[in-house]
Amino acid sequence: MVSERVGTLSESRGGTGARGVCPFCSCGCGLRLLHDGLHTVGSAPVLKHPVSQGRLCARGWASHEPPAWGGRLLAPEIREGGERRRAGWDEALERAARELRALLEVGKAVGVLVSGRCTNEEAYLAAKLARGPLRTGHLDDPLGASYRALLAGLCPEGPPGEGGRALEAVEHSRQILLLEGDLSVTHPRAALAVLRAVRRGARLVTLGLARTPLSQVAAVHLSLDPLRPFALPPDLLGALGGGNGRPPEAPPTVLLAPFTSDPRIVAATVRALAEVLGSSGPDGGTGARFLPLPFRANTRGVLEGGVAPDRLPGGLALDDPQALARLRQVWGMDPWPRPGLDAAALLEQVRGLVVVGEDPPRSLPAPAKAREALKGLESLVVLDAYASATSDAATVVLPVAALQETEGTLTSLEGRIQGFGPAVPPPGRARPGWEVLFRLLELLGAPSGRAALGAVRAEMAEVVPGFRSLVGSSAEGEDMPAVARAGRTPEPDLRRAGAQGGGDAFGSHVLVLAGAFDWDDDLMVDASPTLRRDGASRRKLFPQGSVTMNPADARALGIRSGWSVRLRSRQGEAVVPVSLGTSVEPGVLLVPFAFREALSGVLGGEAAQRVEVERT
Amino acid sequence: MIAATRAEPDGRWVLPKENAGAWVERLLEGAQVIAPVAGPEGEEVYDVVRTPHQVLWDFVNPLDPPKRFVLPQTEPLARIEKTDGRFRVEPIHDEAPRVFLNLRNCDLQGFHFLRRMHAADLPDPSFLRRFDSLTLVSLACTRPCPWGFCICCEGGPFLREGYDLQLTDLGGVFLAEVGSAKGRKALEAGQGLFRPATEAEQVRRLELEQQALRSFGPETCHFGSAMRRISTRRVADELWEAMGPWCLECGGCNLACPTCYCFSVKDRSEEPWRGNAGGEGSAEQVWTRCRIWDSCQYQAFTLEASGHNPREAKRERIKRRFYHKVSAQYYRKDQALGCVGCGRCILVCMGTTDMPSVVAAIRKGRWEGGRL
Repeated sequence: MVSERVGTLSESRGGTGARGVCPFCSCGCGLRLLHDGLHTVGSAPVLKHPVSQGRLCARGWASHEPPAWGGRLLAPEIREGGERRRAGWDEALERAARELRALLEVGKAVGVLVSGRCTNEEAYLAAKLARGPLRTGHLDDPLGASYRALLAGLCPEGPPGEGGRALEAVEHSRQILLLEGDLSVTHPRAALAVLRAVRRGARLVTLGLARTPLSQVAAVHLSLDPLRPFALPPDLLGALGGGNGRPPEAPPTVLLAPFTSDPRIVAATVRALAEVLGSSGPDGGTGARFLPLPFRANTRGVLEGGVAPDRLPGGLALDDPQALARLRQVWGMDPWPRPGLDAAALLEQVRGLVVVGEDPPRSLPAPAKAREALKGLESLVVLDAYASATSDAATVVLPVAALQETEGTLTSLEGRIQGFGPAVPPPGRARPGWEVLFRLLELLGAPSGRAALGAVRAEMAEVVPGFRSLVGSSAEGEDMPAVARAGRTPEPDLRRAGAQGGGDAFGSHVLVLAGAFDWDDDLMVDASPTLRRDGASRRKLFPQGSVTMNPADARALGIRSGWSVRLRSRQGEAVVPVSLGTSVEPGVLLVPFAFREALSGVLGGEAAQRVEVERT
Repeated sequence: MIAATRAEPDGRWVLPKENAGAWVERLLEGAQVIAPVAGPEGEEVYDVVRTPHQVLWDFVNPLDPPKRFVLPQTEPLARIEKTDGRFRVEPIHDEAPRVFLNLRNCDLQGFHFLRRMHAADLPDPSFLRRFDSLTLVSLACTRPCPWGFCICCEGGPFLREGYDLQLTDLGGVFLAEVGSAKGRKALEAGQGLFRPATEAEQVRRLELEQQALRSFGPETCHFGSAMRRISTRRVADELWEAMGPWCLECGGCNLACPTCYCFSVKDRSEEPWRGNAGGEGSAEQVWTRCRIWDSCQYQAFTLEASGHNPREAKRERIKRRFYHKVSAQYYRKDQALGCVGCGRCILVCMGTTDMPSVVAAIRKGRWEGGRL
C-alpha cells in the first residue's frame, strides 16, 4: 500500500516530538517539532516555555516546513573545469582545505561569513577557523553590522539581559520607547510584550520612518526625518513626560530594532537616544533600559561566539591580552588579533571565502554586488542545508543539517541560551554543521580535541562567558553579557549620509529603503510553502519592484495604486509602480527591503535619497 | 465481575482504576491508542501510547489540539510519480484503527464539527476514512479548566451524545457510558474488567455534572447576544479597524481551534534520499500531494491569481473569522457555533483577539484592547 511507503499517521506519531526553538527571529520561542520519521510535519506550541508561554507567530507555526519543503543540498560537491560534480566527504573536505591553504600560501585574503541561523557551536567553530588556521579578521555575519549598530550607542555594559527576562520586564514597564521598522513583523513575541504593557497602562511612544500597527496603539508616534533620523524629534522628551531639561518621569524601556539598512545611521540614532535618555548603566542617567533586538534566531549568539571583524570569541576586544592568552591556551595556537572587514566590504576584497549557512545576496543591502563578488572568488566553500545563489557559485559544497535536524544551542535576544535536539536525521549525506567545521579545522592544521559536541561546548565555556553555566564550569570571569567588554564602537562616519540633509533643495520627495532585513527575502521563509506566499505574491504582482506612497501624494500626482511613477535622484532614475498606504508619511516613498535591488540605481548605495517624482 | 459483552448500548458500566491499565493494554492489542501523555517540557500533550502507564487520567486539556490526529498539519493525500514523461497518481488513505482515549468533550464536539464539514457538499474520503476508523472515548471534565467556556457553546463539560464511550472519574472508579456500537466494542475489549454501575454511582455521576456546571470560572462568552448583533448588522466596521493592531496575524486562533479546517494543497518533492521515492517503479520524479493547515488570518490566504485580494486588510480578515464563527447564517448552515469553548485561542493568541475578548467587544460595540 502506498500509504505505508509515504508515512502514515500511524508511523508518524512515534514520539512526542522533539524540543525545538523557533529558527526564525531572535525572540527565542519554544516549540515541539513533530515528524513522521523522515520529514518534519508539524509545529506545536509549548505552554510551559518561559518565553513563548504557548504562543507562536506564523513563522513559529510553520517552523517544520523549511527542511521538508526547501531545496536541500544533499551531497558534497566540488567544481572542476566549470562543472560541479558529487564527491565523497573526505574528497570535498580535503579539496576545501587545499583551496584555502593555497590562497593563504600566496598571501591572498580569505574570509568567513556566518549566518545568524547557525547554532552557537557552529558560530564558535567558524570564528575559530577564521582567527585560527585561516589567520584572518575578515569574519562577519551579514546582519551583524546592523546588530552591532544597535549596541553602538549604549553604555559599555551592552544589552541589559535582565537575567534572560527582558521581555517580561518590557511587559511590566510603565513607559516604552520603541524604535522600530515594524516590530509586529520582525519580532512578534516582543510586540506582544509591548501590547501587554500598553494593556496594563504603559505609555508607548513609537519612533520610526513609517506608521506601524504598534504606532496605532501608541500614545504618541514620532516620525524620524528620513534623511537625518539621528537628529531626533525635538519633542521626544516631551512625549515621554519630560522636556525642558527634565528627564522622563518614568524611566522608559527602549526597544531598538534596525529601522534602516545603513548601520552608521542606526548607530548614530541609537547613540543620540542614549545621550538624550541616558541608560541604566554604571554612568547613571535617567535609568532608561535599552533592549537591542537582533534579527535572526542566533544573531546575538553568533556575535558572542566571536563572529565579528573586531571581536574575539566571547565578544572580547581584539587587544585584550588576557583574552588572547586564554584563546592561545585553549586553541593551542595564536589567535589572529587584527581587525578585518565587515561582510559587505570583505566580499569585495577576499579571494577565498567560507560561507556558513548564509546567502549574502539575500541579506546584504546590495544583492547584485554580492552576487558578482561571489562569482569572482577563486575559492568559495559553502556549508549550508539549503541551495541558494551562493551554493550555486561554490567551488566546494558541504551539505549540513538544518536546525531542525541537528543538536545545538541558540542565544535569544534576551541572552537565553536554549538547547534543542534533532527531530529527524539530516537528508542524504548531509552532516551536522559543527562536525563539518571541526573536520575542516583539523584539515587546516588546528590542534584538535575530541570530535564531540560536548567537547566543543566545554571549549566554548573556556572563552564564551554565557556557556560556563551550561557545562557546569566554574571558570573565572564576569557574568556580564559578553558584548559588554567590547567597548564602544568607533564613531560612525556620517559625512556621506548626512550630506543629503539640510540645505539641499533637490527633489520633491524622499525615497527611503525600509528596514535592514526582510523576512520575505529569507531563505527559510522561501522554503516554507505557507510563509513564502506573501513575498512570492508581492514579487509576482511587482516583478520590477514597487514603492509605497501616501494616498495624499498620489492624489496630488493624479495617480492610483498600481500606476507607475518615474523616480529621479542625482544618482539615477527608475520607473516603478506605487502601492498606496497611510503607513507612509506624505513626502516619503518607502522601498520594501526585498525590492531594494530595483531601486538601487536611484538610491545610489544610500538608505535615503531625495527624488523627483513624475507620473508616467 | 460481569463480562462487558452483556453491555447494552445505553448501559452504564464501571471501570475500577486498578483495571484501567489492563484495559489500555487490551485496547493496544487491536488498535493504536492516542491519549494525553506527559510531553518533553513536562506538560500534557496528546500522543500515541506505547504502554498503559503513559496514559494520563487526571490532566489539564493539552494546548496542542487533538485535531492533528484527524486532520494532520501536513497530511499526505496522494503520491504522484513521473515515469517516462507519464504521471501516475495514487491516493493515500489512512484507515488504521485507533482509539482516542480521554478526549475532552469540547474536543470531541470539535471532531464532530470537522466531520460534518468534511462530509458535506463534496465528501472528503481522506478525512472520512481516517475519522471513521476512530473510536472516541471521552473523559468528562468534573473540574472545568481555568480558561474553558464550553458551557457557553454546548461543548461540555458532559455530553449526552456524540461519544462512543464517555468516562467520568468518580474517585476510585471510572463510570463508562456507552454511546455507540464502537463504544460497546471498546468496552468489550475490557471483558472482565468492567462491572455494571450501581445506582449510587449513577447518581454520583449526575452530582458531579451539576457540580462541574457550577464550578466554571469567570470565563464566559455570550454568543447569543453577539450573534444577534452580527445578524442584525449592528457591528460597526470601526470595531474591526480598532482591533487590527492587537492581532499579530500569528494564525494561532485558527491552527489551535478544534473547529477550524482551512487548508492549502502543495506538492512536496520526494528526493530519493528521503526513502520515499525510487523503489520498484524507479520513477524519475516523485511528489507527495499534501494538505497543510492554513489560516484565514494570513494575508495571502484569499489572494486570487489575478492579484486581487478580497481581504487584504487585517480588519477584513478578523471580521471574516468572527462572522464565520458566530453568525446565525453559519450557525444554521453548520448546525453549531464554530466554537466549542476549549479556550485554546485565549492561550495561543499572540495578540489579544481571542474569542471571548472579541465576542465581548461585539456585544459592547467597542474594543478596549482585549485580554490582559
